Amino acid sequence: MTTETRSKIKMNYVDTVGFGADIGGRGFHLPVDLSVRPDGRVFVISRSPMHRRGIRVGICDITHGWYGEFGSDGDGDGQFRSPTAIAHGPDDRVYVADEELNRITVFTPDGVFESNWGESGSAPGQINGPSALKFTADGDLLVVDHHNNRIQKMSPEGEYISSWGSPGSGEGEFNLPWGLDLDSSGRVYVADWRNDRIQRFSPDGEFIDMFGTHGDGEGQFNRPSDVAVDDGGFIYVADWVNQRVQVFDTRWNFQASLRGQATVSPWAQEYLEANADELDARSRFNPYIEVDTDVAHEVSARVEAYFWDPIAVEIDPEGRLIVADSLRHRLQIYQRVPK
Amino acid sequence: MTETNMADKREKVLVVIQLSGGNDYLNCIVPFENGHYKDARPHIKITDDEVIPLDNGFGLNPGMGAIKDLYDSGNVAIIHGIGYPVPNRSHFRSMDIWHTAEPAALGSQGWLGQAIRALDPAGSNIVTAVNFGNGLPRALASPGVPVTSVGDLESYGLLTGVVGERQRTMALNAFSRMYTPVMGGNAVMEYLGKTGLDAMRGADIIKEAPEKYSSNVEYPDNPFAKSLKGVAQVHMADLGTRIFYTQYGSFDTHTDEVAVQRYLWDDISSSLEAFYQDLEEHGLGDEVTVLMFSEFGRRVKDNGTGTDHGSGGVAFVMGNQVRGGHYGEYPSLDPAKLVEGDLAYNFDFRGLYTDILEDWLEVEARPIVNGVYEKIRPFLHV
Amino acid sequence: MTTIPARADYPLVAHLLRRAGFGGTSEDLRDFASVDYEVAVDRLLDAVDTASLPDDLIRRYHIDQSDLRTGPSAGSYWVGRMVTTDAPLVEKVALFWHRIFATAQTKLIQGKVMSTQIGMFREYGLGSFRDILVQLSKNPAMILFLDNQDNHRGAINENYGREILELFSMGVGNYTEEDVKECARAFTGWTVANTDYMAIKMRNNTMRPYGYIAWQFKYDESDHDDGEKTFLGRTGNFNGEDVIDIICEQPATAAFIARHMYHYFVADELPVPQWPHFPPKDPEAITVMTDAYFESGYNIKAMLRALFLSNSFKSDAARYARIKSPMELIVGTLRLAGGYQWPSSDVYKATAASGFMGQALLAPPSVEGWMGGSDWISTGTMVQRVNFASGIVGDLERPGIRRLVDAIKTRAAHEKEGSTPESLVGSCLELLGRLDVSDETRSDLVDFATSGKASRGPSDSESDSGPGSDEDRSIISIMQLIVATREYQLV
Repeated sequence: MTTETRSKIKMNYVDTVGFGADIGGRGFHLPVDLSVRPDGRVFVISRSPMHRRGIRVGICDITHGWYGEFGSDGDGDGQFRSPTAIAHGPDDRVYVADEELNRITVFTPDGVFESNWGESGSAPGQINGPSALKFTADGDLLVVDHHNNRIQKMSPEGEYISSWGSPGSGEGEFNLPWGLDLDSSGRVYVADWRNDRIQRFSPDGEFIDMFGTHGDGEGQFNRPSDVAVDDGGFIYVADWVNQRVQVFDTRWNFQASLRGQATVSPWAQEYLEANADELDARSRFNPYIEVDTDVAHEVSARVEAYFWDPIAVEIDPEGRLIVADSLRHRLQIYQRVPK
Repeated sequence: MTETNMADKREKVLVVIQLSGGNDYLNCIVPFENGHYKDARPHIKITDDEVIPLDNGFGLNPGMGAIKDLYDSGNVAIIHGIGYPVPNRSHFRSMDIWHTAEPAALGSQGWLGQAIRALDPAGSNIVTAVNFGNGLPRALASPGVPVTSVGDLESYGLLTGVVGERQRTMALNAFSRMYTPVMGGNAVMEYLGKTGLDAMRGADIIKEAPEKYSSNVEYPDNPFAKSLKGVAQVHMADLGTRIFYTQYGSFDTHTDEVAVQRYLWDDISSSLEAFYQDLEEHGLGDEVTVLMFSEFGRRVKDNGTGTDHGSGGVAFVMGNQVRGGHYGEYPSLDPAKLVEGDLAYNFDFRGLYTDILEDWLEVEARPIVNGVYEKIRPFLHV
Repeated sequence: MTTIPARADYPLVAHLLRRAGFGGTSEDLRDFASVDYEVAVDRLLDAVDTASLPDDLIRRYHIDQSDLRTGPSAGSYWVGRMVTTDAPLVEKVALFWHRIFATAQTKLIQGKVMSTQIGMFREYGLGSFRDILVQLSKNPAMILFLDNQDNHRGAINENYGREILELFSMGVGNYTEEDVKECARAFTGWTVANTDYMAIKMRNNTMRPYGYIAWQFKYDESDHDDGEKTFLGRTGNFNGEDVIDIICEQPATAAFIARHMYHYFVADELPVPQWPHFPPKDPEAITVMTDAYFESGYNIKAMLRALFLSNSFKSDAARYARIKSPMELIVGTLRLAGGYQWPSSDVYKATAASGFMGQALLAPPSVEGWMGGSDWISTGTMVQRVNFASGIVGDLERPGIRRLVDAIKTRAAHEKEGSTPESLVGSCLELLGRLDVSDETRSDLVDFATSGKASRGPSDSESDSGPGSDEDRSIISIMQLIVATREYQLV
């Protein structure tokens, strides 16, 4: 079989960016989504419920630059209750979805509030729990309408264009879909979260194929939360409950599984150096201990370097994979070795 | 003069403000000319042009403008290097130590709870102590001591979920009948009855306060100002409240310290300014002393954008009856003199409690703080 | 509809559901009353949870309940379980062990390891007491809470060795100081992986840089004192498990655990520190349980079964003999209100409320747990209790409350003579879990219902009467007053 003889791609770990910052400031707390601007700036949504400044969008780059943040907890203009998704529009504006307020807020490139739109409901154009945003090459906005189990195509101003999907487990049906992405030819990939699969659609929403079954083997998923596709057509799936990112080629041939291997970021290093007792104890710290559980979530809770609820995946302009490692308040970055 | 006469009858009142989360001492009372300070805070130092210069080489956090004015009037005592032996870096445990005045063992009784018992042994006034906030701080807790805890003064009361004013009044009347002890009731029912009626009585008394209150002072729009305004309202209603308690934060500035600490102090000092204006307008400034404390200071060395939990901190005592100025010494910032990277505290907080208990609330301090501690004597009359 | 056997004893079944669970709806009552009492007891004891929400759903909408870092997150996760489960005794038993093996998030700083400990109580809590003690001794939260990571070969730290005897199994007076030391020696080397770093993160109260790392039990053989020990009259090269075997054989252990069960499930006892000096309130109940303990090989479920079937438990004297803990009050009220088939932010409010009422979940005030009894009641907590319960019951949007109001209206419509204030109050009391109230309270409630009826007229402005029909509001206000009674404070 040709697929058997094909060599698989290799994923190299690059770096970790981040630091737990629950009251705001440099770092993230419970990041849930990110968007990479063409210039490489990474916009990260933190969804920390414990502090009014914990909910916000932080701006950084993957070489540890920090450029500030915007937004806070609340339902006023430019504020968020339960932000879920972020995307950059073709005009460089920033769009953030809030699944509690059922609204999309539009910011200038520097994070100044501009406008918002969104109406709760299930009629065309109304939304119930927007969970992912992506712009098409034509400048339309795809919104994953989570509780309505459909994908809606809207204008950047919130006018309804079209939609597809309904509740269920058949082709083109969804069970609480979460993340989505488009490939270079405009095909749409949806993380069909509670159906444990990824569905692929034409740019117009025609079902093409789907992949994945429930489980923890190769090519199986347990609640996939997000999907990203790179320029080579490789598909990256945040396999959320399984605590890994799986990589497939465009024909769904399994390529790699990443478990996470975070290192100490410069922000973290600065923190440790201010706390000599912790720095000292950490010098004797073995991050990869043997654990007495098989439950992946629990393993991740005990092994700091692993992903713990990897929630969102994006590809940056250089083709690097950025994984939002939500419960560890950081991004882990990988690079595909070109074949 | 009538206002002064009115004030003459008033007993002394203590307002405790808890700065929750660990207020960073170094960026609050800033030793901005000290080279060690500049070395330790490369990323988050308060610069010479931001700091509000005070005296003796110290400055105040830029958010503390109104406190500087109070200081200049001679009404702010800054207590340096306050702490306790064997510092604990847990928010909860360290706060508990401050609340119970018991650093070594686990204390169960609050220092103010015990003061309330000393002030009102029979528990005859249900509102001797009023907390603004949810739940009861351990500082006020002591078995059998009634304390009223007010989340929102305007809506405080029992059976607040009953819709309709008339319906609620009837429900409250029924509540009062149902909780009245009956002959031959058992001890548990009797205790529930008494406590329920006390709670109701407290609510009835408290709700008079906003009705009686009038003032020309505008408080700023922040949650802390709301609490302080509540303190002013209850105090002015003359209900016999001696101890008020409230808190603000979070000062837990591991990240983004410069911005966060500044906005918190902005809120606090502008609220305090309004509070003092309000008291002065009503001729009640002399009866009120404010104590501000935090559970610990923070690490001397910054971590890039903030600071982590440390020890050795600063407290404030404020009021017309307070002799303003510096008390004690700023602990050395010399890296060689630090204890595990923290300031070495040099004044035991139980000494300050002793000042307040003996010279302000006029109750015996020793059984409450469990010993004799060096005082600083911040009050004019002592 | 099920036929109700003539022998159905509703008040007894209501008592059982309040004690072995968090009270029952009228449907629960009918279900459990339709079978023999013994069958009802076994049904509660053997229940397996099928109703709690799956973790993936909770974590999807409440991300903080995935890392469970803070007390509010971990507490809310547990409240959610208590409110939704169809095996309430499992949660009630977890709460029982949480009160005895009182471990506090306030020292450990991370809520995750506390949640794991509670999960262990859920899994083992009704099983063998030996297994519980072994699990407890290996439980990382307990190890760091009582400093066993500092208990080294040649340099013992007695803390855990003492508390396992004093607070967790036998009680003061049944062992010597020498036994404490030997016990501590047996537990040397029982620690967690990466001890230093885990301990310093706890001490510095820091989740930085990357969140907390959940602790992993580690047996460090090189740090274990394998020498000969003499413990409670036995000599050998004991390790922790051997010591636990000896503890479990002691009649004092059986009696101590039995007395705790009586205290928790039957009637408020004296505070625990007084137990060595005063005999149990009901020695017969203790004997019933200690017999079951030894006959069953230390099985907790067997002890509870014996207790629930005993006259001590069933007697009238045991009814409403305890003051509800905040959790009993909160969870019981929320279960009546219903509507938790989806992750809800209500649980956070409930968790906060339990703290305001003096029972911050996962944060008992000391290693001795909560005192309970009249300690729950102060002026401040009374306001919280009354307002919480009446606030929940006053919310017509909650499906359980809507159902209750509709059921009461249906009944009223079927009254031959038309509904009266007496019948209305009677219906409300019955449907709120068959609450028994004194004659005086009942007549005050009837007076309230009467005046409410008389005062309501067309002149009532809409803003004053709130949502729902007048009839709805009037039923609601009676129910609000019922959950504000003294009797509702009891269980």
